[in-house]
Amino acid sequence: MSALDAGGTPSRGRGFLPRRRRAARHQRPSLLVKICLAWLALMLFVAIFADWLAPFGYTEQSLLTRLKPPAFLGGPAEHILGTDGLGRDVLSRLFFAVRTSILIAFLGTAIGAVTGTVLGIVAAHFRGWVDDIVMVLVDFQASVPFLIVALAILAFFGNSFVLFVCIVGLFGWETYARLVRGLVLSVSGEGYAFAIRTLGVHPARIYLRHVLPNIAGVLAVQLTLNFPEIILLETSLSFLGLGVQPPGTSLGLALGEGRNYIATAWWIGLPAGAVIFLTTLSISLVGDWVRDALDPSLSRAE
Amino acid sequence: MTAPFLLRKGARCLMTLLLAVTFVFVVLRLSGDPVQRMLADDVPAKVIESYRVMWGLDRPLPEQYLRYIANVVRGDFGLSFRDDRAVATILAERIPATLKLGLLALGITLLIGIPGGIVAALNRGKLVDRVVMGITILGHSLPNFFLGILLILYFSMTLRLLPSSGIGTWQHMVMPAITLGTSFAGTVARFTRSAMLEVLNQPYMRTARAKGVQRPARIWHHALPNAAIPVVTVVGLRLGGLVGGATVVETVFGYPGIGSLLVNSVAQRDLAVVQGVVLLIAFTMVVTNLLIDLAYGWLDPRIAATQSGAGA
Repeated sequence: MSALDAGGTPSRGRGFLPRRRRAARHQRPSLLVKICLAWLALMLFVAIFADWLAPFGYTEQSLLTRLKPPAFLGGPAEHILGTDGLGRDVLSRLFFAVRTSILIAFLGTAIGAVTGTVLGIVAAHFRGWVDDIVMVLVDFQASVPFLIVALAILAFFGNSFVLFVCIVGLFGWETYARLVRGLVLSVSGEGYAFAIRTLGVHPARIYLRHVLPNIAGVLAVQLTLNFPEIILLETSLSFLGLGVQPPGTSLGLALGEGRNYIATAWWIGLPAGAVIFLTTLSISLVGDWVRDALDPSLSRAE
Repeated sequence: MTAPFLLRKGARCLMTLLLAVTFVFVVLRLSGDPVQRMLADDVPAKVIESYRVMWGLDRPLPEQYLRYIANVVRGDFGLSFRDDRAVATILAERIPATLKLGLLALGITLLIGIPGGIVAALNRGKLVDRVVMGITILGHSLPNFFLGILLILYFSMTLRLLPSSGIGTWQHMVMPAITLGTSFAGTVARFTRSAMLEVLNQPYMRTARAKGVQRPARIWHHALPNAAIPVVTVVGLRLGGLVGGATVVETVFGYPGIGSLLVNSVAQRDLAVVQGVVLLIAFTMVVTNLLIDLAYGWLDPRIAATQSGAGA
């Protein structure tokens, strides 16, 4: 593609770049963003209907068909992506891995967003020492790399699915807290908040019904930034063998298990890695687009 | 850079460190009795009791807490649960390897990220900008463990050029350093780009142009120094991510550093080593952040001026 060509097509395929000039007018999704949305929809579909889509059970072993290559590389036709070291169908396991990873990512994002938002509101509402405590915790969380904290908690308390989800949920709360605290402080000074307060409305109602909708856009943007990082956190921990435990599976664990066979049977791990990559990439690109569409001034956030 | 400013910064650092030590202590105690975890179930009560006395677990909790802090300050992190060696010794063995990897990776990050961001900003909206920014998004989405495995698959398995794991020669450093370094180059490039764009729009840039300063001189003497502050901030904030990334990358490449030590110790539940590593990392992070704060004053005399003033 020549430079002229690139300059000559005005709007197609450009949405993924930070072009603030164009951001002002609400843009329709570019082809690339549409592809990303389609991929994310597909992942959601696979996560929900994994039971029906998977040709085999994800723990179903068959020692006679171990380490068979994918069908398109001359393997047996019924195993589209081949089999792993225990003769389990890689494609079926991939479907269930998508389900686990997306479920954890959703739960983790929700926990982090709610905790952070509530703490941010509490800090902004009470000010004084409550504010100080929350901000010290925010500073602390921001100063120690979270992967290390997560590893420490897993070491001390052992691993269980609930604990693991909670740990993933703990990630990123401080960004929400900081963001919400600042927003609430500035919103509280606005006329409408003052008016409602004068009417004697309960603070909880003010925050839930009036303040939260007003800062929802910023929170949505933060969500799109947070979500891919949560997926990377979960897959990293599972990859290290310290997250989701066998016989369960997750995208990270699948890649981690495949690592041992990388020289002989690359198809066990690489599909999971590719799915992680494409999913986080799609969310980032869609997030960029949402950010520009919601509010051009937000693209300067951070 | 005045004494009150340094004092306040120092106090804040100590607070964070104390919080980290307290966090580790509380979690250690919450996670159960270390004696019972270490010894088998059928060990006589007398032996358990003697271990408890030996480790000071029979004392009241506040005393244990103070003792713990005193030990940590002396650099005594206790003995590894697995082989009874001093945790401090184990850490000391691993630190040089991680330091080497980390600095190399940081160098790669800066060498790719900063020029990339500058070039993108100077060619804003052009093909170069779009290509650079496209690559940063790709890099941001590519998990470092996946990149590591792809590199191993290609350079070790297919081309048989580089060793896939271990340590010793410079060849062992290539893939870990690239994997770790490139994972943050994209973020640095993005921030450099936006910092540069911000600076390029400032009135003093127009003034410099009006004065007839040539473009290279404008960029070198006027734009870059002013864009340095936000970039340094981001690099400082992301160092934690580099440390976290090191745990994964060291594990992928079987590189014997602090990161793989932590992962192995977590897997084996060697709590003594885990708390040692966590405190070491917390300490490193706090000191690094302090150094970055101090670097601001050196990078930007205006900050030093406000710091010596009343508020800041």
